[in-house]
Parts: sequence; structure tokens; C-alpha cells
Amino acid sequence: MAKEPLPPAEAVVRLEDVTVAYGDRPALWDVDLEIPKGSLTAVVGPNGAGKTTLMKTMLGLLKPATGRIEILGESLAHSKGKVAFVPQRSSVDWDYPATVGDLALMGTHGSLPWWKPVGKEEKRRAREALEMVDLVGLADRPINQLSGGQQQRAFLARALSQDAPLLVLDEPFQGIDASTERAILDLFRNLRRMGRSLIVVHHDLHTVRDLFDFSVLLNVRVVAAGPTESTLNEENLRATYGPRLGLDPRRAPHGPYDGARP
Amino acid sequence: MTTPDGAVLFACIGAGLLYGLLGSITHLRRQSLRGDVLAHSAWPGVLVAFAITGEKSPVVLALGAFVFSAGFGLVITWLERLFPRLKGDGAHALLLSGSFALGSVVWSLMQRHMEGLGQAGLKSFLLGQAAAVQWPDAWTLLGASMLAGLFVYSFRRDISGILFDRDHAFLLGQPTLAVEWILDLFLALGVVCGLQVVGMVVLSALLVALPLAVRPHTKSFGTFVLASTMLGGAIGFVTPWLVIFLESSFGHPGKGIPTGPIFVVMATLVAIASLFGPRFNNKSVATGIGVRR
Ligand SMILES: Nc1ncnc2c1ncn2[C@@H]1O[C@H](COP(=O)(O)OP(=O)(O)OP(=O)(O)O)[C@@H](O)[C@H]1O
Ligand SMILES: [Mg+2]
Repeated sequence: MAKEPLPPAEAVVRLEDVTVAYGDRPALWDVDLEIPKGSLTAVVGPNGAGKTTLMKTMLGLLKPATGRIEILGESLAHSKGKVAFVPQRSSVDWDYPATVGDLALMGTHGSLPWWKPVGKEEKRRAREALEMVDLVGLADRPINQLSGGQQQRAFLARALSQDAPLLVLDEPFQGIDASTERAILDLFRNLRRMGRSLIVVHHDLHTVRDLFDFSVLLNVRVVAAGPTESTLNEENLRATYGPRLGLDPRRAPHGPYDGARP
Repeated sequence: MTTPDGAVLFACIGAGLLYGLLGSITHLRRQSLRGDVLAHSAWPGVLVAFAITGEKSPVVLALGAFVFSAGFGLVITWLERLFPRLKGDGAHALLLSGSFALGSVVWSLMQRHMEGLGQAGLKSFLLGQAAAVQWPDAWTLLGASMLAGLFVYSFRRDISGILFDRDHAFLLGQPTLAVEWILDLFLALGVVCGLQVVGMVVLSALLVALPLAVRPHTKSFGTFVLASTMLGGAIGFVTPWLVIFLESSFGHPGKGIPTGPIFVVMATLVAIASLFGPRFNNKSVATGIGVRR
């Protein structure tokens, strides 16, 4: 019995023919991608596959050579403030005079016109965000006195306090201990249940299989994208990572090993 | 003991406030040298303006200084965009000695071809000339510091967000380019306002020393900027009194003690003392988030 084709779900991110290059070396090649609204999406692929490039491009931090990008059904120019982003490696100055609380508040600043002082509502959102990442106790600590994992959690708090409908996180669990990671993954699922969309670059394929409902397999091109159950299979993974599954990122998806496939 | 001249006193306070404020911003942008470059490039600007017009009116000279300062500022920004590796102090260091050398070249050329340069008072642009300060100079400096203060206060969240993490500010929809442009403009204007009174050497030293002095004791953007500004004002207030005291103790008649260098020495001493001294990390809870309800 053939299934009725479902009406196309609303896309939170839509990319058409997007190609991005550093100099003359392409990092993303002809990417067509639609990520459904309200999904918890994992982006996986070997080092250098272009995951970070993809995140930055769809946020407008990098200009693609070609292609069109839509966020939440609108052009990039209109998406300001509606996307919260946690970068993989931040180039910020950790000596900056700011406390953890200041950082958490920064997420709320986009929704506040310049003539209004920070009010109860903003403080509540910042405090809730700090509670989510378990940093309330350090709210008054200067950010240059944080451990690496605490810095990462502070950045997560800044993204969470933004109350954005879409969260984009590039390897958010770097340097974060296992129990905090589990707590934050639970938090992600809760956010998804509340109708938010999340796009997470994540390397642990087991958690992806267990917790993420949509997956994008990337290696310069989009190898596969779809519901995790049907997408994260042996064949696609091999096409993404090469035959030794993730151990050899230098192999191109259709490199010399292709012929050796059964 | 005599009291300092009112215009000198208020010009010093104004300069302290202005360069404390602008210095705190350049400090956070990791552009400590930027003020230096803008000040140094104002020097050839003044000379060229004088050479072209043959006039010594403050407006003409200030215009020349501003054009050159702002021009060099644009060159820095442009170089940094083109070569990200120059971010931080690279581009500044590159242009710093270049702009001063340019000034010196113009200076020697002009001395050869123009008469009466010695009386032109152009040298005061190096170390300032507090003795000749008039009330309009004081009002200019105080006014500029008020204006800059008003802007920084009004847009404190945008400014602090942009200076801390430009990408994040951009995604929030904060006006990154506009704010950066206006801050650049304020710095160029600020440099020009104080150039003749304070002198470019003094001015760039203040831009560096004042924020450095307060950084160890502040942990939020607001307190840092405010403390740097206030410290500048305070040292500006003390300096003229100190100059009078030194003159009455050690001065020779007719040979005054220059105000600008005393200002810088004070600021530098405070900065060094504060780096080695105890830390007053303010316990004040700026955000109030950590407080249990
Ligand atoms: N600033 C840059 N200049 C030049 N090339 C770059 C730059 N950033 C990334 N690249 C190249 O683009 C490709 C994609 O990089 P990207 O950072 O997107 O990979 P990634 O999938 O995020 O990798 P990882 O898992 O290590 O984070 C890589 O080959 C990298 O060498
Ligand atoms: Mg990456």
C-alpha cells in the first residue's frame, strides 16, 4: 500500500544550490537542504566536512559563492534575533570585563530597545538559562575565572536566554562532563517538545541515533538528509566517513575505496 | 599657594574624562595603539593644513588633523578587513611610526621653505601647551566627553555586545557596523579636540594608561568604562595643582613645568601601582541574577 505523500512540512532552514569556498577550495558543494520545523536535528560528518561552514553560512556569518538561504521562511536579513548560536570555537576575548550573569543577559539584549533598561523579564530569562546549565552559583564570577567547560556552559546559557525559535549549536559538548551533557541533551528534547527547532553538530553517533529525530550527513556535499531512523544507516555512514567509519576523515566520500564496497 | 587657572583646570578634567572614556573602549577593542596612530597622523595633518592655507587658526588646523586622523583610521580598518592577520595591533604598529615619520618629513620640508614656523606654535601639538589654554578649549573637551559619554551610555548594551563578540551581536541584530563607525569617529574627534591642548604624545599615553589602571579592579563593562572615565577626571583635577606645587618648589622663573607630561606621569604611576597593588574587586552585583529571591 503506497503511503499518501505528506504535505511538505514547514522548513526551519532551506538551502538551495549553496556552494561555499575558502579561496578556490570549496568547503560546501551544491548543498540542497531542508530541515523541518520543530525537529531536533543532528549534523554529522568527519573533520573538515564543512559542518561549521554550513552552520555559519546558514546564519549569514559566511557569504556563499552561490545559492539561496531561507531561515524560518524568511530571508537571512529578516532572521536577526530569531536564531541563537553557540559557535564551535569562539574567538572572543575571555579577559573581557563581564560576569557569567552579564553573559547570560547578553542573549536577551536583541529583544530590548536601546532606551529601555534591563528589566525583570530579562533577568528572569537569564537566570533560568543559568539554571538550565547549572551555573547560577557562578553568576557573579568574572568570565576570565572560568574553566573551559564552564565557559562553554556560559555560552550555552547566553544562547538559551535568547528564547529563540531556532537554536544552532556547533559541537556544544566540547569539554563538558558526561552528566552535564546528559542534562543538556534532556533539555534539548524538552525545548523541542516546546516547539523549538534545534540544529546540533554532534560527533557521537550513538546519541544521535537515540535522541535526534532528523539527521544530516555531510561531507562537502550532503550525503543524506532525513529522519534519523532511515538516514543513519551503514551505507550512508560509509559514504560519509569512508569505509573505516570515521577513522579516516581524509577519504573523500567517493574516493578510491568506492570500488571495494560490496 | 596660588590656584590653577580655571580654564586649565577644566581642560585637564575634560581631557581626563574624554581620554579615560575613549581609552576604555579602545582597550576593549584591543586597539590600544589606535589612539596612538590617530594622534600621530594628526601631526602631519596639522602641518599640511598650515602649509596649504598659511593660517594658524585652530579650526583650520583641527580640520587638517581630523582629515588625516580619520583617513589613517580608515586605512587601518581597511587593512584589517583585507588581512585578518593584522587584527589587534598589527596594522596599528605598521602605521604608527610611518605616520610620525611622515609628519617629520613634512616638518623639515616646511622649515626649509617657510618662514616664521618657530612662532607658528605648531610644536605645541606634540606635548600640548597648557599655559595657553583658553576657556573654549576647556568647553570643547568637556563637551566632547559629555557627548561621547552620552552615546556610550545610551548604547552600552550594543557596544559591549559588539566589542565582546561581534558575530553574536550581528546575529542578535545589533548594529555592528554603525556602532564601530561611530566609535571610530569619536576617537578621531576626541584626538583632534585635545591635540593642541594636551599634545599627541600625552594624549595617546592617557588612552593607554587610564583603562589599564582600572581593569584589575572591575569585572563588568559598565564599571570598567565608568572607572576609567572617572579616574581620568580625577587625575585631571589633581594635575594642575601638582604643577603649581612643583613650580613653586622647583621651578625657575620663566621656565614652567609642563602640564601634559605631569598628567601622563601621574596616570602611568597610578596604572603601575594598580597593577601591583591589591585588587578591589567590586562586590556589587551588577546583574542581580545570582541573588536568591
Ligand atoms: N578560515 C578558513 N580558511 C580556509 N579554509 C578553511 C577555513 N575554515 C575552514 N576551512 C576549510 O574548510 C573545510 C571545512 O571546514 P569546517 O570548519 O567547516 O569543517 P568541520 O566539518 O566543521 O570540521 P570539524 O569537525 O573539525 O569541526 C576544511 O577543509 C577546512 O580546512
Ligand atoms: Mg567544525
